Amino acid sequence: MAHDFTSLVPEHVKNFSPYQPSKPDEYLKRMYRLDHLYRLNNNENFLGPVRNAVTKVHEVESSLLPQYPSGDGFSLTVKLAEKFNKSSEQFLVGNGSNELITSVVKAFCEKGDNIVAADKTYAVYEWVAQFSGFEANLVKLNDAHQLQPEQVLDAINHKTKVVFICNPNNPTGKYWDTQTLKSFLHKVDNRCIVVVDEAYIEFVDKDDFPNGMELMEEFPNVVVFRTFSKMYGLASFRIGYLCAQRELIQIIERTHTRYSVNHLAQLTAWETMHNDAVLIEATKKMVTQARSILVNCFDDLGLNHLGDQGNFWMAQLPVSDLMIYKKLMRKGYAVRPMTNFRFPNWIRVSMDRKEVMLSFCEALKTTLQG
Amino acid sequence: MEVFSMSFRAETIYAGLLPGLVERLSSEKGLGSLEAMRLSLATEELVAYVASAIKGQPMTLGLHTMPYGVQLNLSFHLESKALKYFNFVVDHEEILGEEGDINHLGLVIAANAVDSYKIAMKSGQIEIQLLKEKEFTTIESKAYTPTLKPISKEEPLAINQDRLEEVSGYVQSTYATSYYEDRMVKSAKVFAYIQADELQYTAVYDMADKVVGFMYWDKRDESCYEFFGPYVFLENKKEISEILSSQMVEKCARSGAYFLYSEKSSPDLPTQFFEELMLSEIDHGKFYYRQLKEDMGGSIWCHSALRAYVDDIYDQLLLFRDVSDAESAGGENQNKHSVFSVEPDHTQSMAIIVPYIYGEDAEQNISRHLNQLQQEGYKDIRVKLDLHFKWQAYLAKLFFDQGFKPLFIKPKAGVSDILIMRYYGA
Repeated sequence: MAHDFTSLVPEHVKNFSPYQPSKPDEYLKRMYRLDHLYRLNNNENFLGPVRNAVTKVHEVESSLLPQYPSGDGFSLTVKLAEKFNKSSEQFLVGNGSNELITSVVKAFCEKGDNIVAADKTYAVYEWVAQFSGFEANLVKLNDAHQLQPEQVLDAINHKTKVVFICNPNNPTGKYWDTQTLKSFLHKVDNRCIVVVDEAYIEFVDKDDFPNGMELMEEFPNVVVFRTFSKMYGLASFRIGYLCAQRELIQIIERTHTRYSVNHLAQLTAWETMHNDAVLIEATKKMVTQARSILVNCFDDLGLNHLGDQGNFWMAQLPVSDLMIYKKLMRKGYAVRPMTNFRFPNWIRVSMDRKEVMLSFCEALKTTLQG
Repeated sequence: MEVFSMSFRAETIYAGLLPGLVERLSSEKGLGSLEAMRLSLATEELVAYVASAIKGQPMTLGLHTMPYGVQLNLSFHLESKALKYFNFVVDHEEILGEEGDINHLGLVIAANAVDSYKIAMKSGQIEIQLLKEKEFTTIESKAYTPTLKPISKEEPLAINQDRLEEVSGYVQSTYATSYYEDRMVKSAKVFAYIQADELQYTAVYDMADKVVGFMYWDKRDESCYEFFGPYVFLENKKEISEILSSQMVEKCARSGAYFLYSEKSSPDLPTQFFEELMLSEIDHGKFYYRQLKEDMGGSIWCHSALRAYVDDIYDQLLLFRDVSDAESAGGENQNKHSVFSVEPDHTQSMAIIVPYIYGEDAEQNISRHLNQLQQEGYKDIRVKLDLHFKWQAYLAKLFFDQGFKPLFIKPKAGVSDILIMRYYGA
């Protein structure tokens, strides 16, 4: 007898729409009849990964493949502890930040609780809360696209368990300086967990930028997120980590899936940690150059634009962002239309090598003028 | 909210017993006497028809109240041999041969008595939904008098019934009737749909809290919203209409919807932020479309007779699809009977044919439905086809042969893209 399974589905799952990931490049190239596709939509780093990491991938012995990886990223957490002068028991390694966000929300939220985040930031904080049945209290950015600490404090109530601060913020690139973040943490006064997502910290070039790894020693409610997907060029392996005081880790690890990070990801991340200076320097140089090209291009086209720290920049278009996205795709450039980030008619462009940025600017110009 | 539910064996005797109960309950739940009577008439026709078609089988009748009306749901399990009875317009001759006492126009009569008639079919289970709306007062046209205050940049106030009444009056005095739907002249009805969370809106106010601009939208299909407006009452229409459109897009951005569209946008729509489709002629304006998500391509079926139309639509929308030929309906075992439902919209004199099953009699079934809908006086007859299914793509050719032409495509509005065709005469 037929059953209607929808009656089994919780309301918060019924009301949630699944995210549709992008199709593989080869598929997109075939659909758009392209011989090349420049991915300027995911803030990836095509100078990466470090050479040693690539070598390690080639050297992996086939006898390792039938084995499960280290369930807790043992060697990698030791390496991270060495780099940041902490205990390896202060780190949890995850299958990208998305898994870590889920672990933190599951560890602290129960029915009726909420999380607080900016309305225009990395969407996964809001999504994880919603499909887990928790409310996402969203704080509007101000007219200068800045997140105001006072408004975040106002949004926190007795049911708030986790606050997410993306620093620098994706997609605006705006950031809270050390004084702002410290003052905010003092006012939160341990009432809830504060996740400081530092996915783009390696791109930052500001003396007043706060280092979450130091602040978490002073504030026991702080959890710092970092990733190997951006600066380190390991996005395809999906590996990130969080760091917090040991007492906090002992709670989060209860809801954290073990064995979710594969052996190759752990191996290449270890190598990256071991020798990252050359890649970081080269990438920062590339980003500086790309930023200058992009900003000049947007100015020449008379477009409002927005950015600060990070390897991306946004521009406001005089037409629909989704339409321009499609037209640019036809020319072989994938940018991020920002409607879904609640920035209608804006696009976000990731920084890439000089020749790619120059040709992209030409394509944007002809698209807008065509 | 469900106020009443009853399960029983399908017997025609219930067609005499249930209408009185439905009339009384719906009257108590806010329907006027005339509306309650019409819902009870529809119940009588529907129960009599279904009971004759599925004799002795279990069925469930539920009554639900909403801020805007009362909905009756009749659900039952259906064996495939009885499917043919659930064509909106059944084959009179065939039904007479098998079931002498069944009124072959039972579903049509039921649908005519209510404001919305829908069938949902899933895994052998059918649910027929009849909605009767409350009677809402028509608002008089009213000229807008500006307060000369600047526009408020603050968070918009919640709309209330009084403010909506003003909006309704201003819309009527500012715009030609072709730019707004019938619902807008009955502001309390719009408000009731907002209360039910089935209609969303955005508004711009001046510093005296007076509405100076309004726009609203509601969900169609699984993944799209149809919008109306923007309606702007001040002189500086450009700025306010851009704010309204931007706020609408922002509010829908993470709703899961794939796109917004409108056949009845106002002339103040900032068209640069939308894509315009000019295909077949639409009586009341242009078709505007705004994607909310990146399109990831996909595969569809299409008959060669419609390929040029479909290619043209995809070209205008800059969407890419793998298109496979649908020169036949496909499938190893062909049903003898096709099954089509119809979703009527009396306020717009529109009827949308929704095919559920392909059968050998599809051509005759199209003719039968077309003739009946023309007799009923519908001016705008359409068909909705999901191009994910080969048989539906093939049906498009059969509809085309009988005078339907592609009107537009709603990307990802079904399992895949939905092709809307409209009847333009043979």
